[in-house]
Amino acid sequence: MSMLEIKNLSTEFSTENGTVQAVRDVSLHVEKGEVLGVVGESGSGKSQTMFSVMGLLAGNGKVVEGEIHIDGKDISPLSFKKAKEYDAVMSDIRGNDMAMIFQDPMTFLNPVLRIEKQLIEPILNHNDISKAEAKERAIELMRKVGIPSPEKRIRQYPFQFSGGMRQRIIIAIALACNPKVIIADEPTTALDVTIQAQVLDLIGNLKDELDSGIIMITHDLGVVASICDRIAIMYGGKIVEIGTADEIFYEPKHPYTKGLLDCISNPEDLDKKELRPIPGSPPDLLNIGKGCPFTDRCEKAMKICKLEMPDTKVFSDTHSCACWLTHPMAKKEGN
Amino acid sequence: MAKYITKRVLIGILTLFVLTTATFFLAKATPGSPFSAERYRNEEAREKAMAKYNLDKPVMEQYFLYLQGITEGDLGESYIQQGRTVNYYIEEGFPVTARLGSIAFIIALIAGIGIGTGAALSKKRWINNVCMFIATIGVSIPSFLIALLLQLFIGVQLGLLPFIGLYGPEYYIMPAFSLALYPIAMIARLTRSSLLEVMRQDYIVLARSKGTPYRMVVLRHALKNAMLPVITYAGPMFAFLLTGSFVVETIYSIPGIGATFVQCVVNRDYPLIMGMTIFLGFIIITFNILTDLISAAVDPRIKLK
Repeated sequence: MSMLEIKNLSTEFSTENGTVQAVRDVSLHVEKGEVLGVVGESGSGKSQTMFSVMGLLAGNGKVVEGEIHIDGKDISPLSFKKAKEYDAVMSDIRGNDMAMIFQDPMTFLNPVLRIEKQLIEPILNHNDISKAEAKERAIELMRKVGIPSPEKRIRQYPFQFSGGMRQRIIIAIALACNPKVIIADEPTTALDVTIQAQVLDLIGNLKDELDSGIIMITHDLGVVASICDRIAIMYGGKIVEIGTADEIFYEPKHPYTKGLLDCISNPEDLDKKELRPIPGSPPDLLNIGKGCPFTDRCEKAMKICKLEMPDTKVFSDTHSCACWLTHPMAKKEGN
Repeated sequence: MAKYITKRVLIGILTLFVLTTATFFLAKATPGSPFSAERYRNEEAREKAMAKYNLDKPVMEQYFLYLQGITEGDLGESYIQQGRTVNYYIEEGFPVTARLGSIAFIIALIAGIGIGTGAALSKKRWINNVCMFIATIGVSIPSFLIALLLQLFIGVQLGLLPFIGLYGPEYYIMPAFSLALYPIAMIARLTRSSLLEVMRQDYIVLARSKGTPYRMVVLRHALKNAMLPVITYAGPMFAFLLTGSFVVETIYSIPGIGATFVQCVVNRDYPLIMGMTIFLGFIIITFNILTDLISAAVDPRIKLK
């Protein structure tokens, strides 16, 4: 059974200018011990999908459709009649069955609380143990994520830590209760390149050590390539292509996936291959049309693309893509 | 830390010294004196009185004598109520004012933070509106008006509470509330805006992602951060409440320090004016130092250097 299963999830935000359809009909699943990469540019809905799953949407956001199951347990917001019931269930799940690693280590730690208090909090929330025991476990966690002299550092405040060290603390907080699912929301975006590599190594090691399913949200395909088993490509609030890492890198089907791959720089063939940015800008999710959201930026767009969303075509057990070009009626090209 | 406190205390003493000097020479430069020829028909008596207060000596000598007195803790003697020292007035009036001011301060903190938090977090619009209405009223109604209205309606017409003097716990209610209304409103506003800001921060999302219940997220993570601007305001406000209010003390016939301060100005009782000024200066400086220390204790990022 999947650790996390999302079916037909849609999330909307009500704003002054109208309703923003941030997540549209997204289905995903993560297995035990697997790393799923979710890739897309800013505003593609990848983070909001995960915030919907965690029940941490901003006040104006709402899940309007879909089901979410964690380890078989139904946690779809729509299955609960009262917000209070949902909150009560989610308080048990968050930090325990499902934890999140956040983007910016500089702003996600509480500046006025000691690391100790922030790190033992999830442990005490979900375990019936004493503070002293929780502290011992917290020190153990700090050691696990590679923070030197944790006994001393646990008494310090976040501002006494560097960015990389703070990100390790955030990872330690997420790992506190051995969650079944870990959602990492661009965990390396705010870090220096050298620190990025260290943090990625850390997550890679954890993947081998833990039995959790990990979801790695990023806009950097390079990051994904190094640790992900499967990759989902999101665009305009939808998943446009999903497959194993090999399938995405070597047999991309969607023009957007191909475009993303063209944007990766490879130091070895810099002079051979030109970096090609994708022209245009992301779609306006306030009034998005019926068709494929990528149409306006797609070089191979056809008439049908703007009129109707393509069906998802399955290429293998793991590989599928939603694009009209894969339709049998589409003109074949030598690509 | 110890170094910081020593430094702040030394600067405080220097400030007090400047304050003393300025007050002294301003008092000297003010025309008129309680020992004018019109009030003392008898020249001999006048000279005797002048000699008693060192007024026959050169100004600089008077100044040094005054400073000497202060270092010994002696603020001089009243010109008007002869035989009564300035220390006597402070010892008599300050405990009364301080007790009333402290009660008002506690009311202001509890009510202000409560109202502000309610306004910030309530999902019901009317609660927010009621809280903000109270806050607006509190800022815009002057304390003399609220003191008089309370006295008239609750004290005289309804006869619910005593309204003259301070002879028991129930006597404190109306004057303390009159003093507290403005600070309640200010603290409620500060708490509300600051808490709204804090609840939008990323670390609140992280706290929620740990499975911490909403109530604990507010209490443990949000309020401590949100209290910083409130502390900055509340410290000097407490000093202000401790120094008394002429209006409230007069309306409720409270023998406090605030009324004394205004009376001594009217009477041109220079030793009392100077003594009071220095004493109030001392309180305000002390509370500013305390405010900074408390802020640093709440927010470890504030470095005391």
